[in-house]
Amino acid sequence: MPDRRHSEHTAGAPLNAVHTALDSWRIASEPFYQPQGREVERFEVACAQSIPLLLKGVTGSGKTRFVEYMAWKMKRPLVTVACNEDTCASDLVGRYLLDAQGTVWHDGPLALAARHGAICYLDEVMEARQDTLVVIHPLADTRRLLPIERKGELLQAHPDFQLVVSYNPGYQGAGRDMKPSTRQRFAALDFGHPEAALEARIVARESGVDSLTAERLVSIGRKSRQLGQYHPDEGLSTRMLVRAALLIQAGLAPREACDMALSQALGDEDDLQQAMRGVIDAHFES
Amino acid sequence: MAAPETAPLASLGLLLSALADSRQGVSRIMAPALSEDETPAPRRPVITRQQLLLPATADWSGFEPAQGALLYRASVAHAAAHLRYSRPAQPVQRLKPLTVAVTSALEDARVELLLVRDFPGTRRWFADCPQAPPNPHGLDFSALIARLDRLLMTPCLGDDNFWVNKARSLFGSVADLTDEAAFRRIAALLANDLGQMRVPFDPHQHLAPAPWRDDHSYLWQHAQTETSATAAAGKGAPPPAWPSLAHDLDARATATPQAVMHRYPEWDERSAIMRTDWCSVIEQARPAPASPAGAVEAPGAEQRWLARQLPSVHARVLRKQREGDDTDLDAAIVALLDHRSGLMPDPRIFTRSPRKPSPASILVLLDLSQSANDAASGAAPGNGGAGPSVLELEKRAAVLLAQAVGPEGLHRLAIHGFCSNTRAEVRYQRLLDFGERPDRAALARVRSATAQYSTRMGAALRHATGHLLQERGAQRLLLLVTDGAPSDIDVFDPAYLVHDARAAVEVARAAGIQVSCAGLGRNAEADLRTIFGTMGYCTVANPFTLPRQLAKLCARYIA
Repeated sequence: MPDRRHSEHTAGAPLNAVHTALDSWRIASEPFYQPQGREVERFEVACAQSIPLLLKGVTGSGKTRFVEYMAWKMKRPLVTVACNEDTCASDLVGRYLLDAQGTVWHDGPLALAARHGAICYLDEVMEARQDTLVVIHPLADTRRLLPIERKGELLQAHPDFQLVVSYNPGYQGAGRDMKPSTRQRFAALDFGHPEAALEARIVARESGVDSLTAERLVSIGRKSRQLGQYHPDEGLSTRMLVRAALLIQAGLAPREACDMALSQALGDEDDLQQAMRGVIDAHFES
Repeated sequence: MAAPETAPLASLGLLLSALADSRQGVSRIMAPALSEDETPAPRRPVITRQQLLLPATADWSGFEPAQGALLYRASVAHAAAHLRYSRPAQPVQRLKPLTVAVTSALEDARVELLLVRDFPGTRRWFADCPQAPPNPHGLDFSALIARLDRLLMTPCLGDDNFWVNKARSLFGSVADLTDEAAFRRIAALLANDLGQMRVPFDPHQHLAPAPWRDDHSYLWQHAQTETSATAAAGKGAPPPAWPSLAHDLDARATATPQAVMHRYPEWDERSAIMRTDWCSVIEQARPAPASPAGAVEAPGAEQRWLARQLPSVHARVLRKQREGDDTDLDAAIVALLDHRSGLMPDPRIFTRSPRKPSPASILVLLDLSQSANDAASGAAPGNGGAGPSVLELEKRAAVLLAQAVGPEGLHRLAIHGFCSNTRAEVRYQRLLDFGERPDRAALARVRSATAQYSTRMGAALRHATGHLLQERGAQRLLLLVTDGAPSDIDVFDPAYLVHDARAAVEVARAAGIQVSCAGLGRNAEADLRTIFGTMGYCTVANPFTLPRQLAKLCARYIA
């Protein structure tokens, strides 16, 4: 059984899912995704050529939603791994676990996806250490092999296997950079904040508020991104604007909803919080 | 309401740049007028292209202390409205002062209406701001304008004056609020009416009645030289807002066009008194950088070595330890497998995470006095005495350190320099600021600093302490790089400035700032020991090793 703490599946299926079909990792219903450019077509072409993909973008810009949408569209299961500093190679590939009978091998999410032909999505891949990432090198070039030394197996990736990684380029501290040998195995897609009209449509569609409120929220978001230039953080993401819109739709007054959802999102500094409150006050009358 | 010196300038500045969609500088408080040019203190906010200048509360006519926050906010909104919708610096040409005043008043109302249209929440900002109600029967110019303002904001109130009602209906007749030409025509008409009615008008005394409105210097460009208020704007760096820290560091900022002056006390050891307001530290505007000499150096071996000396952020989890906080899962499984297979298990099955260093703010203060122009002692022999000067080595070391810390490093670095020419002129230069990227332009500015005059250390240390106190890091380090003891041409007792510097260092350390010194050459060692303490300084015998010594000092003080 796959190690539960490494894979997030969206369908909420029971734990004893069938291994081979990876059914519990399939996306059941269409997730809403608003394309910003030609990223859908580009993803499909890259998948057809089995070229691994690197998604670069600020937080909340739709990377994860995009991958879910493509997994649904191409009818492939999606295995997600949230990488962090402690992620090591065996977390990705798999390890032996001990039970009453002895030792039994459990595939990690990467091996699972490679074996059964799923999309493997490594989120925040820069957080993981560089020597951990080297394990994906054989999968990411033309060989498409995953050597599992502990088991003595050379796993040939399923033709449907697709590797997708993502990271936030502005987030890392010093020394946190992808090795060139890793970086040059990926094709890249850039994700930024969508332009105002698109973003308003996304906010309105996700939350159900009217378009005028959505436009005002988007304007607040854009101003916060300007303020974010004076500050290490980036400004409000589309996700936070959708949250504020959901609160408004649920019945909170606009200023109150924005205060809850938006004003602390830029950090705890007094100056920035005051300025954000001023901006929110300026946009909404009540 | 807080005193004006601690008004929330930073957050107001951010709000202004957000509303105005421009990279607007931080708004600042104008101090009471300098006595040099005899201009009266401004009584209304002044808008410039880079900044919004708010008058001191004593001068701000219409300021009420209890409602200060509302007034600040309304001023920021009004300034943002002008920046968004008004065309600046229109030539006055032959317009009469009365026409100019009426045009400005209508422009104020127009841009405020546009702002309320785009940001509906600002309507309350203007409405809630307290304002003395206009005299309902006043017939001078200010009263008429005040009545017109009130009528435009709250039309239901009504007014019985013919001119006011005519102005209001003409204003309302323009369909498109962005049509500036139509409003200027209306203003000309109304001013003509006022002229024929012989309404008394004094252009020097007239102020916009609403206290949050500006003095209209942004809108117009007069043929003669600009007033000192507008000349002061847009040049020079705004003064930082000082936190008040004990009685020693009480400083009041007064601004001149190119520089900002701060006053500091000085300690007289012999008389055991602290002379208040004794030194003037003049922080100059940024010098224009000389063209960068030669190609930009790629990070060489020295930079990499330096970077490794500084505590870095990525403290890796150490695996396979004999003891630690957590279990190394892989090693534990291997140990159990070995045990089951009958082999000797490896006992190193724990992980330990070393303590992560917290971000530090380092201020490198360079001594830019005349003695730094001498050739560095300890230079390689056989050079013919033409080796690099102490100044070059200091600058090189600072540049290397800046490159080693790097723009996205964990720590923040600033490079400042000072020299002094009597106590009335202690010059302070901010060559590289905290958070500023050490790119080519910035490093060229550092390299182009020159050395002259003397070393009045205490005043410079106090000013640098003030800068460091604004940094929010847990650790703050002040590194002084000097080649000799403090001295100045108006001080004859050599021990006087030494003890003053010692007092400054004590105050800084009491405030939580670590202070250390890298002394070039051995001649001032005794004095540096007095100032910084036995462990608080290091002597750099060979000035070519200055970069490494600086990095070692950093590593010593930063956990």
